[in-house]
Amino acid sequence: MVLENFVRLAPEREKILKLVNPRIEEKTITDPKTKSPKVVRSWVADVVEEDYIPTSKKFSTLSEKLAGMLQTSALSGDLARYRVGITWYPRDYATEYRVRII
Amino acid sequence: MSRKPYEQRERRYVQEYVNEKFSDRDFVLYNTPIGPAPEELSKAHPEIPLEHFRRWRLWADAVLGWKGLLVLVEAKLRNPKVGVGYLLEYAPLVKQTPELRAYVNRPLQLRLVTPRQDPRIIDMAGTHGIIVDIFYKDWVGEYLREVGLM
Repeated sequence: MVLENFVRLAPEREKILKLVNPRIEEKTITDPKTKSPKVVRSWVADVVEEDYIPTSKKFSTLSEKLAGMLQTSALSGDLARYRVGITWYPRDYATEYRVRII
Repeated sequence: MSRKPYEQRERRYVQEYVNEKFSDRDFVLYNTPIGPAPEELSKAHPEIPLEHFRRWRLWADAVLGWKGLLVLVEAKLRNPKVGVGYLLEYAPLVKQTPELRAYVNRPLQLRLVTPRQDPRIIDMAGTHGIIVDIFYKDWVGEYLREVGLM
């Protein structure tokens, strides 16, 4: 059984989230390239709504690009006021994320 | 000597600009792909691998709906003249962008946002119908001084 405690993004499909309590957390992961464990800082927030349905999950990203956009939204108050639509465009090192403020 | 960690300054900059200048916007998309979907391009150019078009897709810093317009924003902290080229490249592709299909009937406005006033860039952009917004923040000034551009 897989416990869906974290929101997962699917390639090129927008996920609409209401995020609260943004923060930076440290965790140990296995580097997908080198297969060695390493400590990383991730941007984390609690998800209270996923695609307009109330939920109680977490959203976490290691992407500097996405974290930068979400953190700016948090500091500007956008995250508290609006939902965000996140679309993941996986391209290995050229991965991009589109953020829509809704 | 270790290198300073990379920071996503232009993404923060464009969001702060949009929030301050377009608080009455209808919607905003940050870092949005521009142009036809890679699969479509690959069909038209079968000699080029699909991965090329996926990897080298074009990305606009922000696209927003504002006062009935579709505003395409490119932010450049260090080298604004490059932004003029990007906007000219993106403008004709907006109508072919699947992610923007719902908004293509809106008149398009091109805006380059940069922290330093340079009349040469402003004049050149103006000849192409691009509005140049000078948008300065203290943290941007600190960064530009740090890298010797101010």
